[in-house]
This record gives sequence, structure tokens and C-alpha cells, in this order.
Amino acid sequence: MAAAVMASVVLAGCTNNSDGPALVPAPAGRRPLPSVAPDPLPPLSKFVTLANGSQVATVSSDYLFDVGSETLRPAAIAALQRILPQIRDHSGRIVITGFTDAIGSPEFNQALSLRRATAVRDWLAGQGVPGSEMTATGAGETGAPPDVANAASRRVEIALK
Amino acid sequence: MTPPRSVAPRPGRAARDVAAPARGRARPGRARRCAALAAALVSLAAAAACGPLGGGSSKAVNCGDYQLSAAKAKNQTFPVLLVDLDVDDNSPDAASRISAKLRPYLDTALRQGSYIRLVGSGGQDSGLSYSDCFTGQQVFKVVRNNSTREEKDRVRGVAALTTQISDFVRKTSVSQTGGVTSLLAGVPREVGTITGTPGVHAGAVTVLVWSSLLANSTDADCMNVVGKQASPTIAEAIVRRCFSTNQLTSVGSDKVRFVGVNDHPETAPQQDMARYLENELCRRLSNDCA
Repeated sequence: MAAAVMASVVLAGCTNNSDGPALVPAPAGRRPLPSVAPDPLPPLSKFVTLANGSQVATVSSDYLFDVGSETLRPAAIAALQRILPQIRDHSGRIVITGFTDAIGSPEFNQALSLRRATAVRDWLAGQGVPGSEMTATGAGETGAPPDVANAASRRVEIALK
Repeated sequence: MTPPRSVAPRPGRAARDVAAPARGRARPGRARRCAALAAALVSLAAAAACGPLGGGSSKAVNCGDYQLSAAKAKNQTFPVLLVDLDVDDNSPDAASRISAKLRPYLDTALRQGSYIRLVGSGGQDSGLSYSDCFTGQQVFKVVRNNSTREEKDRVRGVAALTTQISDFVRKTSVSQTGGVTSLLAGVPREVGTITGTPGVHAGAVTVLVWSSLLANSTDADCMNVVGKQASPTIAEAIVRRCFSTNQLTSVGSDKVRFVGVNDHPETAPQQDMARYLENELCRRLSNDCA
């Protein structure tokens, strides 16, 4: 009896500032995730021939990388593999250029764009494209509308010269 | 935590040695043993319910055990950790995943000292819910005179506070529609509640957001993505609308960390859309976002 009294005294004194004496869960609930349609546009553009004879393919950086990252995502690698044969067959120079939008500091964006272009170049080199034929450059915010989070500005261009 | 052990008779001895009621006047030795046993049981029960030994249980935790006294916190500046939970699943499994993801932040908070405020939303019909433990008005920090004891208590504190988060999730009512908009919109207000509390000297602010970012809502909610296409351009338009209609505003230099994005996607488009939305939100919400 004395022990029970002591126990209740001790227990009563230790529950201040808590979310309740014991867990009483709410009724089980789960909000369904919304249906989201797939993007019918391919993440990679086909190579487009410019007036000077160069061919350029543009890849959305949002597809290739996570925010602020220069690590290629697995899905992006699968997509790059689709244009790999055409790059391998090219006998001239290959210029890979990274671009960002104009949100954030220009210095950070410049460095990020270069790191991303370099990541694509390194991946291509790992697939047997001669490294000596490839150049990676960072164009940073070049051409991006100021202070706009413009998805079209965030890209990597692969130019076959 | 070691569960309280039941007392069983030792092999080879009659059960009545333990369980039989005392007959006549008890011998002094037996009375002392009974008293000691009762005291031990009380201690075990108290320890199981009172926090430091109770991590991982659903019993109440005394959050004050891991807070600085007002006298010790006086005139010192501590960082702020605002935890926003967009709870779309209150199952034990989800509660466990969420609390495990937040655990490292609680560990850091207890090491450096932090004001912690917890706000939750179960969706459109549930409104916002608040924690009695994480109000943002007390500094969570474990300080002991003995460093070994301090480390042990801090580890226990992290476990106990992680359990608090888990319990909070379990207690949140989840509605069928909703999203993260109201939580994100409320960040300036919640931070203001902390910084406006008399005696609080708040330093750098970190906002921790658990959400899928995939709002299952109506068009009035700018983050609604029902039926939308998973593309960077659509995500950009969604977030742009949130800011142009002032449903969301920038939090400036406050750190924002999204946790829980793509925790449980069901389809590839959902996964892509969540990532694109995170990118867009990060760019506009804060100068320091990931």
C-alpha cells in the first residue's frame, strides 16, 4: 500500500512540461499522394544543327542534378546514354557548357556551372569519349533573366564542333 | 532501455516464499527485505516513466530534464530550431521514419543549445497543432558537472526527444487533403513567436520542414499538384504563383532544410515533381536552403 502511494506521488511529479502522460494516438490516417502526370517532353533535346555547322544538345540541369549539386543522378545517366553514340561518333571538338539561372550569388553560380559541366565531361570520358577532345566550361548566369528562377536557364549544353 | 523485470520465484523454492501473505508478526529481516523490494519497484516504475531512462517508450517525458534553467540561459544567445511537420501519415512506421530523420538535428540542438519549436499540420481539416514540449520558449541543452554524465544524459535526451516527435506524429489527425503551404506560410509568424518571447535571446534560425511537398489539395492552394505534369517548368510556375500571390514569402537568411521529400513516392512523376518543387522553393524561400 505504502509503495503504491509512493509510486503515485513520484509518477505524478514527473510529467510536467510533457506532451501528456501517455500516448493516445489519433485515428489512423493517411493522405493519399496526388496523381502527377509524367512530363511528355524528353529530358534531353536532340542534337540541333546550328548555322555554323555545330550540333548542340541541351539538357535540363534540373533533370541532371539535385539542387546545388554537381553529382549526376542515376536517371540522368540513363538519359545521357541515349545520346552517347552520337557523341562517340563525332570526330571533332566537344564543348560542354554549364549554365545557371540568376538566383543566388554570381560567383557561386559560375563555380556550380563549371562543376556541372565537368561532371558531364568526366562521365563521357568514362564512357570512352577521348578526354583530349572535350572541354568543360562554366557560363554561370550568362543569358539568364535577372532575379528569376528560370528553369530554362538551368542547363548543360553539349556542342559537337 | 531495459524493461522492468518481473519478480519470479527462484527455482527449487516454493512460490509462497514470495507470494504468500505474512502470517502473524513478520520477522525483522523479512520486513526489511519487503521494504527494500517495494522501494526498488517504485524506483523502477518512476525511472521508466520519468524520461532519462524512458527513451523509446510512449510514457511521458519530462522535457525540462533537457532544458537549461532560466538562470543559466539568462543573457545568452542560442540558435532557434523550428520544426514544421506536414504529417500525411500518422502510422507508427511513419512516426518512426520522421523522428529518425529529425534525430541528428535534436542531437546537435542538445549539444549546442537551441530553442526548439514544433508545429504540425495533418492537412486542410486539421489546422495547426503545437507541442507542449517544444514551445520555443526554453533552451534545450544538457549541461552537467560531470562530462561522462553529461554525455550519457545527452544521449538519453536525444532518445527521449525523438520519442516526443514520434508521439506528436501519432497524435496528429490526418485529413485526406492538404499540403505544406500553411506551414511554410507560417514560418515568419512562428519565428516571431519565439523571438518575441520575453527573456528569449534568439540567434540563427534553422527551419526544418518534413513534407512530401506534393499537396493533395484544391486550386486555391498554390502548392496543389493534383493532375499537374512533372516538369521543371510547371514546378517553377507553381512556386512563382505562391510568391506572386503572397501565399508564401521569403524567410531571408534563415536556413531552410527540407527533409522528407521523396520519402515515400509511389510513381516516378511524383518523385520528379517533388524534386523540382524543392529546387524552386529553395531558390525563393531562403538564401541558405537545401
